[in-house]
Amino acid sequence: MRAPGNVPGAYALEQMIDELAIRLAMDPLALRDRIDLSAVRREERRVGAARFGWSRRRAPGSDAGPVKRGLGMAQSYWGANVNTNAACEVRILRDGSVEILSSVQDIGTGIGTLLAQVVAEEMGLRPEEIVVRIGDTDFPAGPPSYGSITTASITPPARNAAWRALRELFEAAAPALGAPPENLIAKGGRIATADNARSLSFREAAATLRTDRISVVASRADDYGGFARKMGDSASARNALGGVQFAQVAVDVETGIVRVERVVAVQDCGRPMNPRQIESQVHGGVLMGMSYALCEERLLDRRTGHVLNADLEHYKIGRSREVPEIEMILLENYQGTSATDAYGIAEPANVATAPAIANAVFNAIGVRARQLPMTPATILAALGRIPGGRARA
Amino acid sequence: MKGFAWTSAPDLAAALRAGSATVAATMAAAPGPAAANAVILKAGGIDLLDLMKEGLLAPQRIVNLRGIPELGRIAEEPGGALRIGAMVTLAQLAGDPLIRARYGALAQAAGGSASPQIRHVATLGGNLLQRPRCWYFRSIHHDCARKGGRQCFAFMGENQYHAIFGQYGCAIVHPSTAATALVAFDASVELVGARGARRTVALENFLLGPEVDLQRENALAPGEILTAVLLPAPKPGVRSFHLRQGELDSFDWPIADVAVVLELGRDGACRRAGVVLGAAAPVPYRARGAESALAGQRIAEGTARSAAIAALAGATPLAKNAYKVPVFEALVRRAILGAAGQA
Repeated sequence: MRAPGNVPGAYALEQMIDELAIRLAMDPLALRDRIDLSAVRREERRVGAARFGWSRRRAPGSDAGPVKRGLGMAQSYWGANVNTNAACEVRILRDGSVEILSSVQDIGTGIGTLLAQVVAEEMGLRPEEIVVRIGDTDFPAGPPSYGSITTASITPPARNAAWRALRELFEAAAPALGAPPENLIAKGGRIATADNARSLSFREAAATLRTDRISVVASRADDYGGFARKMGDSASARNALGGVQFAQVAVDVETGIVRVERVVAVQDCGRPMNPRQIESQVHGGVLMGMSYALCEERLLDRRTGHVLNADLEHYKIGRSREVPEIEMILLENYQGTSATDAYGIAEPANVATAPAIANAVFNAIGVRARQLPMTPATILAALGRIPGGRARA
Repeated sequence: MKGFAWTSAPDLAAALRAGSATVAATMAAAPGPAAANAVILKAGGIDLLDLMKEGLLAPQRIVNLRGIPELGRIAEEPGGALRIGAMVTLAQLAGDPLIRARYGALAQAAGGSASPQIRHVATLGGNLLQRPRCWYFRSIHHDCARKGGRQCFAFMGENQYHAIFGQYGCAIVHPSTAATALVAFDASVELVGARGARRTVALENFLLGPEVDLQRENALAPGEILTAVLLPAPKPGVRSFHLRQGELDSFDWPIADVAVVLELGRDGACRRAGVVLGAAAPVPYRARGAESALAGQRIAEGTARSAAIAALAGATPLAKNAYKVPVFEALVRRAILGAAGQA
């Protein structure tokens, strides 16, 4: 499960809009161009449709054999969410080592890598030279791990703390370089005068510290906001995140099996911090969306109250042979309202997948699956192919 | 999981001396002293480990059969019959050139089972003797009929993966996909008793429906070891095909699987057909209606379609598994055409 609540809502809403377009005899993209106010999604529809080959879309049931192919699309909305009680400490130690500490936790999304990246970029070092210490509540408060808020919340204070720590290092190293601190730059592992005439290695510059360390704590609460809404520590930046996904499916009308063949996911998350990590998040979002659409279901025995499929044998998720071809198009969408301008991607990448698949299923077979998951039982019932008309309760 | 003693039998005689109990009898005796002292034979161990982790079986001693060389061989007998040792893995079956050439449906069935990792460990003997996957049977919270309880929970519960034929007091489907193909080939199993006596039983008779015995799926006797599967020599003109359909293509149990064996004459007419449905009934379900519909006919789209409809005649689906009927019809038709080389 990812993006709790949003996926079921989008599954209904995005199918209704698709249905409305069909009722109006309009292309679903054209209808959205008329009713969707988001300029970001408009552009995402345009580039996505071109890459996906939306113009190849045909009327339902165009294939002669039992396997019908269909194309569909759906959209998502996600707030550019931030938790402002997110802080970190950056240390420069006299031995030249640099550390970042925050109680933010990495639940597998790679925030440690991003923190190293941000601090390294600011200090002219390589990411692997930064020591990242996270997940300990002794460290400054980190954001909670929900709502796809981590990157947006913790990377701006990381950059601000690094920037301020570096200013202190410049102060310390300025006499040795014979230049005012404001004329120093950090680049390629060295602290140098702006004209590059004189420089010290980062380690040599750190050795000029009078005390054992520089320590700076910065908080997202201090960052310049640009928030549309703020309640307690929760805030949303002005421009919400979009996301448009296109899916191609093959439906076997005799067995009711739906297979997702291709997904084009057009996503935005502010300024992309690490495209490879973003692509991994988008793949995860699409795969979980596909499993949600086709097979995931918690089965409770109604008479005894026990969950019957609380194991990975019976609780079904798509595996290697179900993986479609996934293409990501990343739209850079700057808001200019934080030190990194980065926003979330994990959940937004999951919202549109299931309804895009459902709309593609309709385009393939001309009937709509109004329940989840779209198992053979669901599809064959929708097609009226089950003897006695017995559908899944 | 409780602790247990482990021994590896170096040869069949040592395994027979171990005085093993069947898994079904041990589970039926639980929690009595017979169950507590049970010696259980292990092949690949896939199902055994599951049962132990599920809290359904706690053997006192496990005797490993994987180290017995004679059980691990595939050998052609004089006259062309094939003898497959019980410890031959599903991966070996799927890749064996002789099986692929002569018993294609068996290679397909074995090759499509479970996952590559499991196929490399799971044995044919263990696959045939594994206990059903019904989630009520596998749950310690449900005292179901197959475990000696009073009711089959599937009848009133979540029965989307259960049987559409032959649910006499219990709606399991037989879990072995290989068995579907083996029954279509009229295979037999070789059993060796505690005193070394060998008997050979047609697989179709060895596997027991709930109308015969609610608490065991086969006629394995205490102390007996299933040593081999015997496939009769292929008749001229025999062609076969197996199709399985899972909700997922990777690592999922089939919702339907079908094995078709056709004996085609030189004139192209079908002399004899074997049509067997897996995941349809508590035992592999021989679709006699389909078999007789094909006998004497030339195989074409129309004959295959009629045979598929005949195969499903008399199905008694439960509240949530009627969808299996059209799935099976499609698979039977396709498997017939596949066997005839017309897919």
